Amino acid sequence: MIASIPVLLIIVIFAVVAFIVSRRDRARQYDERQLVVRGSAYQAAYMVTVVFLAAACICQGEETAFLCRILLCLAFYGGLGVFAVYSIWKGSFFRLHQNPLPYTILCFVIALLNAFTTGLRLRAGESFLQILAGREGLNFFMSVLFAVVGAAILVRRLADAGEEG
Amino acid sequence: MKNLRLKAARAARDLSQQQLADLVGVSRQTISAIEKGDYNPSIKLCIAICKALDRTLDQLFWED
Repeated sequence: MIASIPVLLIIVIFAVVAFIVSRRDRARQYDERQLVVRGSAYQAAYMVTVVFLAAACICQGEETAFLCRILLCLAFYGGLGVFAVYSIWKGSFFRLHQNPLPYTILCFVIALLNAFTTGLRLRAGESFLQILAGREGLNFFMSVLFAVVGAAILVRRLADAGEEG
Repeated sequence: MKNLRLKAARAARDLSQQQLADLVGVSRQTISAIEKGDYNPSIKLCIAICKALDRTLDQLFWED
């Protein structure tokens, strides 16, 4: 129970920040191309989620519980990651005139906090596989997801800076 | 197919992609995608671009 408090705290903070930002950004919209791209991104993410969920269903059993847990994590975080990276790369993740900097910083803060939690378990002598099998596996996958999303935003910004004509 | 006429018209008005995007209410990447031929804009957006650049639909979007 105590181990899950940091994760719950992060989720609550993230939800509150996302709620405030979404209310503030209600006037900002996506343009027509962005909506089309986001549709494709949802489609790709949905397929990834379905494939991993199907794999998790196949792998159910006493001996494969660990693999099943990993596949369920991949179904959730993989779907989110595919949607985020796809739409970021096509310039359709942020609304018009939305500043991506706060979101990028938030991504790296969440990634670092979760990596820190995973690191603490490693230092306590647990093996990486044990961590993945336990509740802290969620921290690890969340850390990877937000690091990838943050990195995708930065790379896209760098590419955009060179593309403007 | 690249839309070089749109790019030329924008350059003639001395506008950047971001400035044109702000004028017509879309993202810079959308203007870039239209110029590269990666995205076919709606007629509504075509008209907005034509008005912003003071050109006709034929001049910017009609392929000979």
